Amino acid sequence: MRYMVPSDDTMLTHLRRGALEYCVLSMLEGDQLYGLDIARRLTADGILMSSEGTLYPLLARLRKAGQVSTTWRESTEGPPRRYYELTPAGRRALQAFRPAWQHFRDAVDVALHTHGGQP
Amino acid sequence: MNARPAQHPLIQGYLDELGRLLHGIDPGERSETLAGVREHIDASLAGRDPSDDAVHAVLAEIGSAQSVAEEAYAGRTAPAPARQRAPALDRSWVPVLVAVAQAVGLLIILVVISSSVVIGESSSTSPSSGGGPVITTIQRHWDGSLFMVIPAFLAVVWLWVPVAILVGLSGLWATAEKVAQTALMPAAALVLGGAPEIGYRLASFDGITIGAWVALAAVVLGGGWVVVSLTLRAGRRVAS
Repeated sequence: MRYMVPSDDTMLTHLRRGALEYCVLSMLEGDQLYGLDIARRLTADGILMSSEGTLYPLLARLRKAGQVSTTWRESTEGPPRRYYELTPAGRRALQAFRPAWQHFRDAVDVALHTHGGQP
Repeated sequence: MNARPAQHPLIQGYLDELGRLLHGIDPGERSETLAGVREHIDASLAGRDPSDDAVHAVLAEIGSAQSVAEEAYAGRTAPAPARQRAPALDRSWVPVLVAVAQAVGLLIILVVISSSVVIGESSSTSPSSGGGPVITTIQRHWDGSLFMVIPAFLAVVWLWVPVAILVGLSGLWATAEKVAQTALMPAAALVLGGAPEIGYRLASFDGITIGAWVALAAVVLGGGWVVVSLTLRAGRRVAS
């Protein structure tokens, strides 16, 4: 019996889940950014995000959770833009995620290397 | 304001499809997601001619409406952190209250200035010597209208201060829009008080009437347009 091997795309989609929003929070740590700016940075390498549009449900969720807030700013090139900024709650969430991610990544590395190649 | 490229039929079609796919999502998140994607498209096309090719390219980078919707639905199962309502001054009552205050303020300014700025008439009758006809002289006099600008503004200052505070603190308007909201009442007083005065200088008594009508049109149409468009914009930005 043959099992289907998930494609790279499917694997990445699963891996992003749960980590991507913290990447966004981290980008906003020192800077207020607007959507297009965040999207361009996240899709630059194609690993963190494959299509720009998926950023917006995520931003809406983060705002609803009170982890980012928005302000409107004039733009020289068109209509005013919505800038996103980290809230204190977002900062706390990011601080909690960093060590958790470290432990998770270490554990995955250990698991992959310990059992890697073994039948 | 620039034309919104989002009016392109391809973009409208994309947004309609996304709106349909997001139907099961919380309305606040749904409208914010749609607004985010629409702004993304606007910003991507800013300064460019929204040709079909350019629009196709931008939509391809955004990804299919299906993929955006999947992300929105996937997020629903994620553990939701403590929910928080939008800040008090970003809610829908703010633009409505500001619009009502602006409308009332403009009306008061209009009434104050138009009721106190009048062309006076005084007649004097003098019997002509020698039993001829009696001559009645009617003299028109004009006290000016500029002097009413400050009293008119003072009459609405109780409305203007709350408008300035609400608009200043709310996150629903950009800086230039806040300036426009705050300047509206003082500007209306200045226009209504100044235009008849300018008319008088240019064309005497006829000029007063012309100036007054021009000012009235400017305040009702121009002021009305500013209030309506800024209220609609803020309304679209209210997430939930």
